[in-house]
Amino acid sequence: MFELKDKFNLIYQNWLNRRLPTSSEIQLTQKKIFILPNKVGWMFLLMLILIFVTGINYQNNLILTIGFILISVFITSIIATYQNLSSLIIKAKPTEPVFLGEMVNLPITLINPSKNSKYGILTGYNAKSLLSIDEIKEVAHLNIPFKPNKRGTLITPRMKLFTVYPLGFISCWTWLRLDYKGVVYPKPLDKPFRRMKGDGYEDDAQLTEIKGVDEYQGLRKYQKGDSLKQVAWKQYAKTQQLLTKEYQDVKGDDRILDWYSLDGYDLEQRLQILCGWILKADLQQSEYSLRLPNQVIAISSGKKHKYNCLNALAMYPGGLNG
Amino acid sequence: MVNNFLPQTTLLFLFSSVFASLLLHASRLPIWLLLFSVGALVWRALIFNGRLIKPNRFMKSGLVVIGFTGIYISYGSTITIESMVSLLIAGIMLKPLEVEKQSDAYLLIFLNYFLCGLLFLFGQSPLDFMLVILVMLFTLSAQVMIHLYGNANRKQASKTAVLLFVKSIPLALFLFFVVPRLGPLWTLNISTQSGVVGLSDSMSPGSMASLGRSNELAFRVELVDGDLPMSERYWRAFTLSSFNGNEWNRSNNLNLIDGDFTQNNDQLISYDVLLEPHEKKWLFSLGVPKISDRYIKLKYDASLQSTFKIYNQIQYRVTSRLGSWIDQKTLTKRELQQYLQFPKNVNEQSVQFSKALSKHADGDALKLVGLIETYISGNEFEYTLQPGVYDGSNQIDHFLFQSKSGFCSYYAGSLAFLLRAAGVPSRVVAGYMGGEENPVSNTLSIYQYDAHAWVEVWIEGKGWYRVDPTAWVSPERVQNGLQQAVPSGFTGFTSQSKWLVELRRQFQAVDYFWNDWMIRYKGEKQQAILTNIIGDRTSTELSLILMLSFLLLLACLFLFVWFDQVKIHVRYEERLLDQLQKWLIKHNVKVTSSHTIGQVIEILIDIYPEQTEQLVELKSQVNESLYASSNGVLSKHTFKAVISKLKKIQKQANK
Repeated sequence: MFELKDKFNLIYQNWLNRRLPTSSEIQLTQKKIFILPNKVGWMFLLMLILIFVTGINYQNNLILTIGFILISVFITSIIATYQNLSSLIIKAKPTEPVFLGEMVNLPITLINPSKNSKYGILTGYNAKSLLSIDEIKEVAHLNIPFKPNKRGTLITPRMKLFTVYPLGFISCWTWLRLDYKGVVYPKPLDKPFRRMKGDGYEDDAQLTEIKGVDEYQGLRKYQKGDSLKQVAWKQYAKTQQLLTKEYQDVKGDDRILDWYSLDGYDLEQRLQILCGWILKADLQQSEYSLRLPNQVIAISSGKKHKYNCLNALAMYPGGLNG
Repeated sequence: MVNNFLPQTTLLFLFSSVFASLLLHASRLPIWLLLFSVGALVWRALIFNGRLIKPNRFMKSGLVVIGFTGIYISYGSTITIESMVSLLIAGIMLKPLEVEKQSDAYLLIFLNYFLCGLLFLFGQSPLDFMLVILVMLFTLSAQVMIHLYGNANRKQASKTAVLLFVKSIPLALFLFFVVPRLGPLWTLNISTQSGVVGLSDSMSPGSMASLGRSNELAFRVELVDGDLPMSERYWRAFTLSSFNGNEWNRSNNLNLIDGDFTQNNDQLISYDVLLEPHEKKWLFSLGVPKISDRYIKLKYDASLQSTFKIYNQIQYRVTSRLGSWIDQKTLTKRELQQYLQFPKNVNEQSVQFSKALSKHADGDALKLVGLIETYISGNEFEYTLQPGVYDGSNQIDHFLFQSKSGFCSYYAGSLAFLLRAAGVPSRVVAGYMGGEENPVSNTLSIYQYDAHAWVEVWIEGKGWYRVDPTAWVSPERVQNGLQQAVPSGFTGFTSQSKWLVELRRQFQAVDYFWNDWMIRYKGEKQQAILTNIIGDRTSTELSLILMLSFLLLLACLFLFVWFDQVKIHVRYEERLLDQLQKWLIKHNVKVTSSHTIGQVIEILIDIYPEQTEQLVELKSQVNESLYASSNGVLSKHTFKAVISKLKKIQKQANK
């Protein structure tokens, strides 16, 4: 029984994927919109039957006329409801990266290319808590809060766009999967750093402490991206020239955030710990490199470097990412 | 989301629409129910203010009990339309007290539509129709408003509702003209409480006086073919054959007959009768009628009878042979007995008088009638609607020899009695006499004050001969109608100025067309008009044609949507890309959908280096337009300009 249900669900999902493929911009055309009368609509038709029976029983043409008018309004409202959703363009804007377990606001732009405003459109990922957009004249921007449950490329479930405007008799909806070009980083785990000591590894609180071991080599001209901690401020006060203190990296691999140092943890845990280290190292404004089985990111610091490293973690194959 | 709480503005608007439909019915409702309804609405308003609490379950059931009890006290236990509508109103008016969410609102709205429609059970004038449409639009606006969510805007909602309504009119008209009207499915006709004015089954001398003072419309007649002189406007309803000394009663035991009394070479007249509901079965016709309608039967006394009571306006077409005669060469023994019966031992004086006259007449019935006429017209008889009251048992004696004043039923009853006393079979006919011509709508209107009674005498070997004894005393009654005959006793109209009469005629004409097209557009009339349009078809063909045209209409509606869609779908940047691609295809350059307009122009620059300057200019124009628009869409204006430039470049490049 459940198998059958699953099978149907699969067929339905495949059909949906073919009909409404993932895209960052979609215009709602006739093929992308579903429309059916809802409970309210059926209730109304029941009331219409009551009107017609009364009209027939009393042979009252005017009561029948009211019935004819109401049924015509019903039919016209099918078109009106359809038009309230059709031709709408939905654009997904690129999102900020997010750590697993955090909420992200998915930025969506709704563009109404038709002359008439669109009213009372509900949208959201969860059918129980839909966001209402009261009116779209030309453009509407909205942020839909969403909590991703997978590391890697941000994949959102199908989003519902739903309207019953103007009369509530007809439900008109669509299921869109939008591509936000977003990334979900692993959830950071706060663990002390580990560095090579002898043959094994040992925990260490700070990456900078390692730097103490480095030998001072001299000064060189400040370059963009150099850590401010390494700027020779005394020299600057004297000469107004920014100079960076240069150290000789005695133990070259001391600032490696190393996948292989994390024996005993499973894949996701390793990624989570590495993620935590990257954040901590970045906070301490120290330089670091990242070593993963499939790639090594050379030593550096700064925002761009941080995001490169986090991206590498997010995109690391295997585990939850399939 | 359906369980959204509605904003206050929406709720107030919704309740106002309910109040509007209450006003539609207000004139017929008992005052307590109006106060009850307004009270409930005020209570709801005070809940908004926070001055009153919401009613709990106990209070709600209390209110329901009050409503029920009130209606029971006002209307009693008999179920009438009025009491049912009042019950519905009481229920609807209590509903706002618990409406808060969107889902609660629907029921209220739907009941409101129903309540609007029910108004037509009580009135079907054009004004009633307009009012109902207005209240329906009001309710429709409220329905739109609940789907505007937080943006509840009365103006927007009303605009949308009116637009939706206007768009629905063509389809509604189509349905109105085409959908066949079913006959009543079952006879559940709850009658109106007030009853209607009209003829009754029996006739006592005074019974028609009340009708004489009523100016309500009884029925209207539209002549299809032929002329109808005033002297022939005797609208027969039924015959009265049994007399108990006080009342004449209907001949109920008459058989129905098939076929017709009329002969082929007779001069015939065709007319449509538009009958106001009188809650009885009898129908009105002239002379000897012929009818083909499965719901209408011809009775043996040449009167028409419906198979069901008339609760709604109906229309039927009759062909009649005019004249004073109804053929019936022989009477059966039972019939003879019936038409000669009269109570013995009362009205002895009249019986003696009749027998004396009959001797002079030598057994000739018509001669006897002539002698009676001579007596009545020679003895200062008076025609009046207020003949005074007489309680004695010898009513006919009193009328013929003492009071000598009365109106049609006195004269008709007495004449029939005198004839029977002399051994001449006779009967009283009840119906209407006359009819006011309306030149605007070309119809005759017959009012209740036209109610009349006359006599038919049976002549052996020939049939029934119409005699109107009222004409002997008051020829004006027969010539000009009741208004001229008794100006003093007549209260139907107080003013008779010319423009008022004209105005009344205009109103009647509007009313007539309204009745003709809106109220009675069904049955044979509908069929006739449809046949006119699409020709004579079998019912299968007819239903097929109707079905197809309905589907066609629906298809048109949806086609309209489709075209609308195509129109919106035009994206000029895509069309521009198409144009550029076409050009490139000539050079065997493939362009994928991921190429932007800019990229394609770059490729073009590679192919046509001479046109670089113009192409770069073109590119910047496109880019400017794309960035300038708020939604990254190329404007139509830019598209056209770019396309014309592109064609120039193409021409130059090809040289």
